[in-house]
Amino acid sequence: MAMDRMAGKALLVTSAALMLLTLYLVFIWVPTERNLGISQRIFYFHVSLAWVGFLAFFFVLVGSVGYLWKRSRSYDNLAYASAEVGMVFTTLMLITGVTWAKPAWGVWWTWDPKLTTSLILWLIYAAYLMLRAYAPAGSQGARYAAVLGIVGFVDVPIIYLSVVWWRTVHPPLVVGPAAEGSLEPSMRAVLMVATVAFTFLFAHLLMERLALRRSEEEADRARVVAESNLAGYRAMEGA
Amino acid sequence: MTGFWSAIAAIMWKDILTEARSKEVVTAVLAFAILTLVILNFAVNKDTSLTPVVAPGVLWVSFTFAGALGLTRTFALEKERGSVEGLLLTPAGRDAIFAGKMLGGLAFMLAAEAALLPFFAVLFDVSPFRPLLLLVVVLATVGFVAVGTLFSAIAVNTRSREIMLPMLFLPIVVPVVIAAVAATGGALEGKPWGEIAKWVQLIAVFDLLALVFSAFAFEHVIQE
Amino acid sequence: MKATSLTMRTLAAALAAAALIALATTAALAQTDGADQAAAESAEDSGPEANLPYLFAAYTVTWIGFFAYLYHVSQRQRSLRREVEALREALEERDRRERGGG
Repeated sequence: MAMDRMAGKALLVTSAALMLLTLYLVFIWVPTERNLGISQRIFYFHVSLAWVGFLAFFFVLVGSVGYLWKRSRSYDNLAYASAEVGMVFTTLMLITGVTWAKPAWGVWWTWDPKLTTSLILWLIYAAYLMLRAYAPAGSQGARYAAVLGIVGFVDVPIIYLSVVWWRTVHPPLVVGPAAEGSLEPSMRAVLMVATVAFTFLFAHLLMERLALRRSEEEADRARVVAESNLAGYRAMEGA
Repeated sequence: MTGFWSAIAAIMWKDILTEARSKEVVTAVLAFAILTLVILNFAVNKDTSLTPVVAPGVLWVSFTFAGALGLTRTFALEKERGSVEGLLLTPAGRDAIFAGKMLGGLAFMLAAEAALLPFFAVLFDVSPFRPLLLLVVVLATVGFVAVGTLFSAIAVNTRSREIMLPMLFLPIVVPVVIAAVAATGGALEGKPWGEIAKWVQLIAVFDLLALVFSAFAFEHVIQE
Repeated sequence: MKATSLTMRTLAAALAAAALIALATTAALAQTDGADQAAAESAEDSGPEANLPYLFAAYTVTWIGFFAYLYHVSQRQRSLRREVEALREALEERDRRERGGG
């Protein structure tokens, strides 16, 4: 437990320090992109958020497969916690994307393959969290969620392929920002630092969410114990 | 092996017979889907030159709604009567139950689509009797129903299941719907096989993955 | 105990972040020669600097999002701990009364 708390504190401190470094690099150190102007600085947050979102959903896949295979609660908890934290990152990724699209492309939204796929990805994991809330508690709900956690992740490349083909038939009107391959070295360095910083933040949030999950389980157990004990007690008192 | 196939046939036949007797779901679903067709036709068909662009999309929107509504019922009757346990107690294996349920749903949805196509043809003034179009519709419906049956078994055990099923499986079937819309458009315009082949291939690959995965995952979903 | 300190930590960090963002925004807006709302509205056709509001909107929303989530988690954590504590006390109370009365 003490080790856990130490690790959690270390994660928090590291991610906070890296975040400050990222802010410094993004706002003061890195040069402004010539064509896209100052709003291009959204890119560093946006891409890191996207990367961490995918990482989180990959953890959901790992937790789901692990749960169906081993039937251990800890795999299920990993999938649940990671899906929720991943949703936070993906939601912010979509919001920063929209905020960048407006100054860069002149529109808030366009049906570009990456945008479309991201939105559908978001919808899949929104459904995942809804399922977790609406499905029966215990192993049944966990199995349902695991199935969706696997299908959802495996489906993403197929969605992307279909959207790319669809858009090739109807070419997009706007041209996206420069591909990552042509990124200047200094910009790539900032992106790397930002990604590492967000990955540490993700680890911290995941730890917090897992701790909350353990408390939820503890509270569930306590409720069951209290209910059975106090119910018997009240029955005795009433008699 | 014969036991496996006869179990599938029995489950499928039971569902078809139940529906054929009551006609409860078919009527509601058809009325709703026709309404969708009419409203969308009214909304987008002001300019008939747009028909080739919008017609395939409208057709698949109505198919999707019909399918989502119909598949909600796949396990709902069993749930209401508490006969899922009965189904599990029969010697039929889980994969036979899945296949039977899926084929029942497929028959239902294909019937609904067959009834909708003439309405579509009249409203949008297109000829639906093209072998390529029929191939696309049947193939895409297989993948759609395979995923839908799996999630129907999940949604039936959740609260507010009528909302949960579309929420769960519509994002997953996006690729097959996109491919179906594209291939339907090509087929309606009378394009040669070569131009829509890649879409049909995408649908076929999706079908294969959906069938294999759904059959596999169904065992984890339905066990008590 | 830990939950309380977590909430305080979150709140303090959120306040600090809000102050930082406010400072940065003021500094940046000062840089754009007293650019006001009119400049912000005509953002698309003026120079690249005029897109600053979008940049700060994106970063502010990101930070508010993370802190709101952390706050939500810590609040839930706290209420769960309180509930477990209350249940435990109810049980202990019962034991005591049973022993005392029994």
